[in-house]
Amino acid sequence: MSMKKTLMISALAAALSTSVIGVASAATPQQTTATAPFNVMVNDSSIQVRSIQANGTTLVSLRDIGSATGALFVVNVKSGVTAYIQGHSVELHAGSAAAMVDGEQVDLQQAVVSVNGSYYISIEDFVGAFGVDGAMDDAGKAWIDSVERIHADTISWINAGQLLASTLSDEGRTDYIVDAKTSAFTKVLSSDSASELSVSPDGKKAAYTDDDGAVYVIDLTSKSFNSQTVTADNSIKPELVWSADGSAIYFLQSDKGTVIQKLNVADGKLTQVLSDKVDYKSNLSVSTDGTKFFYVVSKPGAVTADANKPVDVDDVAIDTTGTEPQIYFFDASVKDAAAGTKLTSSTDDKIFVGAAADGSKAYYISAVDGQPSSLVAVAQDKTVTKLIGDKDVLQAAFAGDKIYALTDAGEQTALYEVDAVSGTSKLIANLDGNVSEVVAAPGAPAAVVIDDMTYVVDGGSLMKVTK
Amino acid sequence: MKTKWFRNLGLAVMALSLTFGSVSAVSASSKLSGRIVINGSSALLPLTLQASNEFKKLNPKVKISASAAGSVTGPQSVRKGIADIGACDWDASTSVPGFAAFSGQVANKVAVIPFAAVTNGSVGVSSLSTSDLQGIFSGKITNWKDVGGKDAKIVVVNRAFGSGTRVNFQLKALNGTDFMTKGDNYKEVKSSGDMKTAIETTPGAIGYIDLVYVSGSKMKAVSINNVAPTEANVINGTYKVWSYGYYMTKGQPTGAVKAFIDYVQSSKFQNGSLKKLKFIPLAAMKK
Repeated sequence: MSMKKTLMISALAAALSTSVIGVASAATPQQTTATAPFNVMVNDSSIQVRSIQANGTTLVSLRDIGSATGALFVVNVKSGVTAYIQGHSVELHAGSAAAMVDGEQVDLQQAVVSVNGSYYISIEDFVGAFGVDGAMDDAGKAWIDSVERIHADTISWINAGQLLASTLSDEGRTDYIVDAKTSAFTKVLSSDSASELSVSPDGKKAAYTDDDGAVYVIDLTSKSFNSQTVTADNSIKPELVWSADGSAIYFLQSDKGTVIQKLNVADGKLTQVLSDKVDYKSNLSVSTDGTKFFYVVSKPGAVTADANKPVDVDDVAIDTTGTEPQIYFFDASVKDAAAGTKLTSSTDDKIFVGAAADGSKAYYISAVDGQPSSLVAVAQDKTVTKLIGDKDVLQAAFAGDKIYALTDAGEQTALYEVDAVSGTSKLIANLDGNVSEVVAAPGAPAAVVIDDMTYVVDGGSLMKVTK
Repeated sequence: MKTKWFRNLGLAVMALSLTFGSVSAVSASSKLSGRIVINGSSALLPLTLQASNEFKKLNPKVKISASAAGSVTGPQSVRKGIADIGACDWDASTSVPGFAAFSGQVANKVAVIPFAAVTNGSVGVSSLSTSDLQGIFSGKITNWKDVGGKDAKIVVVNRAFGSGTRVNFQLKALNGTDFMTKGDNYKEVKSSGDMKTAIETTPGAIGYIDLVYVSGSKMKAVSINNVAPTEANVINGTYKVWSYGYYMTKGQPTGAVKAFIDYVQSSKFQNGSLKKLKFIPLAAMKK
């Protein structure tokens, strides 16, 4: 048995030590009671399973709870039971606290008990050996989740009912469409050379670049997810931004992101939107009408170094003054406009930058050393307004006229919905766990990533969609 | 409150490990804070700035300032204590031609950088041997006709002392032989951008540059010993003129600096923005 699994089983036992389901030594002689019905939540439905008490611990019928989670059972010749679930095998033996999971031994906290030919197992051991999710609510009720899901390293909304989930590895990436209600998933693309997919606002297309910089568009509505080359232009394109109508893709060209280019999806024609010799643009946002552009400019520090002096003299000086990122605005509808306008000049960090659909203002999180970060709007006239100024704002995601923000709430993370027009905000949820991201899109509910798993915020509950 | 949203961390983590394994993420509520100053290689600056944009979304309390003035200024800045990370196109913890080792510094690999010998588009040469390159860059071969090209004067364009591209080209394309340093047919430039401009606008010019800068018809990347400078040939081991890009740190990195380097080395960044910026992921060299 691997150390990793030993530690995890131990952590599980510790986590459940205060629950109504106790943990007993596997070596303790078994004193069991008669079977009794026991309620447990499996995949959000309440089911009744047979149970016994063994040394004061509740053990549940392996067949009852296993069948409810989709496991298939085979009784083998050595008087043991082998269960098959989601491509894994779990072998158990009566009186033994050792399970074989895919041929590898996993120690159980409590020996499996056989009563009248039926196997009984503690719920925490079932969860550990069968690789399903389990939890205990405040009332002491056990919840088990065995729906097959993919793991997602990145997640975004396609439309109100579907998400785009991507798994990453050293070999490349695989992208899936995930149903937001059922967690069912369909593979779209698996590639060692494709960039992340950028989904069009209507959710029907997704764009990506290959290693050379060529741009492709996938038809997300086709069964085979057909992909077409839009342009073979091999310039560097760090980020692709769709126009609101899906007819064009904007990008910042070159490794320095100096030029804003427009790529016409229908014919691959490239049109230069802005070339003002200002380097290191990033975080491009485009208004619905395609005329107003917001972006961030990061200015590198100024270095003075005398190459004529010996290297070991270290005659180097770095001036980082003015290197904080600044928000810029460019209005392509203004005749002969040739340069972006710097909207901010403050020394705060500006992250999670987005823009109003009408191009009237940009939004960002303002981070200042030693102070709580705030959610801020800056208008074309450079007026700065705080949308959330009394909490430490950690993340923001933009969804049309709504902004979803994660704020620090001590042991929890709070999720707020902000009306970008009125500036009012309301608390949606206080979230436990390691909340790493909020995901939003116009017309779609918010989703959050907690402990690497994606949950859709559905009224007063969280629905897990990736594991 | 009717029902508290609950999740049992131990259970969730275990379930994940028994099936597909997990990929770590940094919490939105990450309390990591501090300021990271990065200086050095101009080739690595776009990568550093892009990583900085992404890293700060995971760690909003961390501020990052990046700058570039040539690779050697990276480990120099670290040694002087004015930078936390020295971006460098060679492993500065070891000695290379012209530069002694920076003792006490740790070289953290972050990317693979291919370099190409490049000529003005009009010289009429598509491949050069190591011997040809040694002769040209030392000033012994002065006319393109002597290496199979047109009857035209060769103009050598070199990067200034301290350039990581220069160090790597000297080590791996010239096998350590010396450059010429002066003359009518010799120029020195301070950056990759200046190199590109000089090669494109100077008839008979030859120089070297990061492969990412090679584009258009005014500049031509030549094969070396009949091996083309392509990403595929770097990965399959046949093209030798490439280097790892390093983040040099004073000792093993810790805290926010370690977290930043970990992010740059992560699959998400390596297979995402790093590839889009036309660097080669570290993992590609392990295949």
